[in-house]
Amino acid sequence: MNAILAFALRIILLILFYVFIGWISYLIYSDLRGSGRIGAGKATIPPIHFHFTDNDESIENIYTKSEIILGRDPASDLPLSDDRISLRHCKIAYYQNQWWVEDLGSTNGTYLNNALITSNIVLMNGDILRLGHQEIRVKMG
Amino acid sequence: MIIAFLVIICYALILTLAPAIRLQSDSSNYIFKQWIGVVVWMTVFAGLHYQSAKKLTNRDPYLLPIVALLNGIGLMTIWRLYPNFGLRQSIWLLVSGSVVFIALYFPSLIKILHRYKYIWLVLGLILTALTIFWGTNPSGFGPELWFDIFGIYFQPSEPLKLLFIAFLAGYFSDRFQVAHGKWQTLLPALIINGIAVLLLIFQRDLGTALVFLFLYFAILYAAQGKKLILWLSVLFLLISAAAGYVFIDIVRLRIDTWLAPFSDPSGASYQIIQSWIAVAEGDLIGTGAGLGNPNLIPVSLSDFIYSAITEETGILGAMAIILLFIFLLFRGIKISKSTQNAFQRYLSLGLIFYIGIQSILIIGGNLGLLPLTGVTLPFVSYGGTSLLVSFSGLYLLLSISNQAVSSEAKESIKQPRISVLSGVMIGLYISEMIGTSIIGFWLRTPLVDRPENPRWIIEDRYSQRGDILDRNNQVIISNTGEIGNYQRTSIHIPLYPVIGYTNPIYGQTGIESSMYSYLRGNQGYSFQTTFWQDLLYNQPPEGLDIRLTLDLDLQKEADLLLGDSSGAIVVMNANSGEILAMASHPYFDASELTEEWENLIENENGPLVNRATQGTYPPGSAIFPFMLSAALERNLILPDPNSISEIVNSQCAKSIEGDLTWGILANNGCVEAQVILADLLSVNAVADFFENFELFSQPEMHLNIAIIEQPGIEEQAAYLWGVEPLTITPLQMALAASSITNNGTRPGPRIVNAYLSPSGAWETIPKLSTSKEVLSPGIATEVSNVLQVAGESYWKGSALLESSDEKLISWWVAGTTSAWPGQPITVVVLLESADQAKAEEIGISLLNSSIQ
Repeated sequence: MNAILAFALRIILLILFYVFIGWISYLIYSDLRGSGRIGAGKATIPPIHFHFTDNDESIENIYTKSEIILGRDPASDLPLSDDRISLRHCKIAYYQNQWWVEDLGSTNGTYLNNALITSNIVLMNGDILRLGHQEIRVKMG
Repeated sequence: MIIAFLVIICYALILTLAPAIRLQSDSSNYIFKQWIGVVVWMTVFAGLHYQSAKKLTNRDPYLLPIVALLNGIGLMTIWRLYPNFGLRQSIWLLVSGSVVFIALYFPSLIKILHRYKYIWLVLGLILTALTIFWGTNPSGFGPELWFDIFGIYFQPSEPLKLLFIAFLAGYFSDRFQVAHGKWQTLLPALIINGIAVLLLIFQRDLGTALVFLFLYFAILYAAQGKKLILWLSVLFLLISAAAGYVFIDIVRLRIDTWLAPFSDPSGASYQIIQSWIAVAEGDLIGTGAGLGNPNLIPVSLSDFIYSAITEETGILGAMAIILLFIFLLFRGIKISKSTQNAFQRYLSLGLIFYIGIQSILIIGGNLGLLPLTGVTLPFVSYGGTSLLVSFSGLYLLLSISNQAVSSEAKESIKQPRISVLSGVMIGLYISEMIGTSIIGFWLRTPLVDRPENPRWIIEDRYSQRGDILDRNNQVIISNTGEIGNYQRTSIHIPLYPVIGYTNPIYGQTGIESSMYSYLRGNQGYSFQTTFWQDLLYNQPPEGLDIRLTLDLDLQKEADLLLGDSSGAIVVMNANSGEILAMASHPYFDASELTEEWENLIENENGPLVNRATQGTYPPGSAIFPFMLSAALERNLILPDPNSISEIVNSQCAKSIEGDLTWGILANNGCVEAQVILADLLSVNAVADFFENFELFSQPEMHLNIAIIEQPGIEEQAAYLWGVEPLTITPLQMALAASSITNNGTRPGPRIVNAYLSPSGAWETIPKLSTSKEVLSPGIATEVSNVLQVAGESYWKGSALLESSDEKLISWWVAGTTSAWPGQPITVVVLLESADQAKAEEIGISLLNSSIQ
């Protein structure tokens, strides 16, 4: 009786083992497919608006790419001319269905709603980013 | 995660039931100790799951469940193998889990690791260097790589691996951002790497040294991306392997064993062969947790844990383990591709390569695909420091994965070099999966049947071996003791040289060996019975009884008559070839074999040898009857022996009086007469006759038999006098005599008659050799009439001689004449002393008893 029970358990053990493996492979597979779809269809990225003033001129930029570099470098996606801003100052990136801000090791830091950011933080509609003296208001949708 | 929990609970449940199944009893033998491990394991991983979900919201979600399952299987296997070590490992798991749990509160640890990389590395190197002075080894011998801190063993070379990875990652990420000359960049790291490797080689921690070399090249290649590095590293590894082969004994041993695994199965390659046998025993679904015997593999806890798991969960379980490692590698590569900065990329790469290389090395070593290196299987093997380090690596990977950048950014970083490396590693994993299935499936039978496989000893203790009975179903050998501790006992000890022994250390001989498959129950049962018995219990069914042709009463008489004399007796039914009694003295008691082995093996009287079938003796005048047969077959006209003075004045084995005939001369072993007869016949004719008579042919039966070759005809003296190199076993003598007794037909000998089938009927076991006419019936009758002893119903021959090593030998050979109405009997008595009278007394007595 014990032996039959143990035999059943052994079979269940192996089945569970492979269910686990199957489950992980399924998740990895769907993960890969999901990331592939995001890469292919850029339309899925919701546009993000940046409002700021440069030389007393009010500017609004709209982006739909998934990664936006802000910095003093003219080649960056959003070039800014303040001296206190690093060449590549920070990055706004869209992943996991959210916009994130990430400091790229800037000299004077990136502030979100007047708080220095230390790790990647999710951006919300109406947040205010500050790089050097430059303030940028974020709008979404 | 929940599935992983269920798997481990299932495993623990089987472990609870296993001992009861082994003993085939009910509830009283359940064990519950391993549930401590289950509780610790569940606590640790539930805690880590909760903590990482809270602290690292963006972590890779697959890492933790994969590691949890690997670790759980490992922990349960350790509990199953040695519960004491299971407890230790559970404590280490608790410690490692707590360390990661607390570390998760401090997300900036990676930066500290990066910033002070030199300090950490130097610290690690110093600790490792200190083992030169204060190192110990928990097992008391072998490389001294551990510190003993109040009974807790700590191996500094394990964390050194982690620090080394962190150092390399930090070093390369800093250096490659600033362009230096090629050598300026590489040299400092190379020097540090060299120091580390030399230190490890000095301490004989060669597996770790190898891992270091691999890691160095892998990270260098990933950072630099030069194909040249790949080829250089292959070249360098080959050179260092060659250097190791020449200068370091253990490397030579390992490589030799790897190249020729069957050269020394009980010595150097013992480990690998035991590992193969364990994998082969596993078959497809394994023997079941707790039901196999993986403790028979040396160091099954750490180095050979993969084989241990394979034995109990089969090829399917082993595949699952490798698949988990492949997933781990895959997720690790994915993390490294989506890291924020170079340091994290190299760190995560280094970590995942560390896990990958170690697991590939040790699994490959277990399967004999790679030379064996004493590294641990990460997360699975026993070893506290290794577990702690693996968990720290897990923590770093989790933290890095949490800071991953967007998936699109990841797409933009093309890393063909990493793909090459990971592709190679996945390829190695897959070849290890194939290797496991080949060993466990295609090579299963030859490996399981290898003499090095000791599992039959355990089977014999748990499942009764068959009894050995005589021809009248009197028990000779039976089992005593209770399940788990069955022993063999004999009611007639002098028979041991014939029946042989079965001993856990010295193996099996004689009938115990030749009839093993029936006695053990592997043969004789229906396929279904053995199949289910093996599947459910991993034990063969109860062994089947064997019936011999021996007559125990006659046997006892023979042994009593032979007494303390060295010698052998064969009593045979000349028609059927059945051995009725076979004695070999001095004998031994198999129940005291282990204690007495040294004495027995060194005893120059050779009590372990079955003299009747393995003892080779010069026959002397015992071949006189056959030579007379040759003369009669060739119609040789024999002169009157009374007229030949050499014969009249010669010495015989037994002194004779009165009128001489050739029959009487042959009866009494007058060797000079034999020489004259052989001269008359010519040696060529004698040799030819012996060949046709099959005097020296190899009888096949269920006994160990000495191999004898008929000497060439240039050995004139041997044929004339019947001396070396002409030798013969008592069994062959009995078969040749039976040819005369049985009207010219040489019977095929047999000692095993039948087995008791599970249905309760005796099933005959066929003879191994058949009967054959070697002399025409007319000549045979004539010979037996010429040789017939006056007034008796038997013919006889005898000899008394000195062998070339100055041992005295007496032969007495006899058989019933063709006129005898009962069953024809042949008796051969051989004494290793000059006592023809005693030989004759024994022979006549046995002949009389057997023809009644």
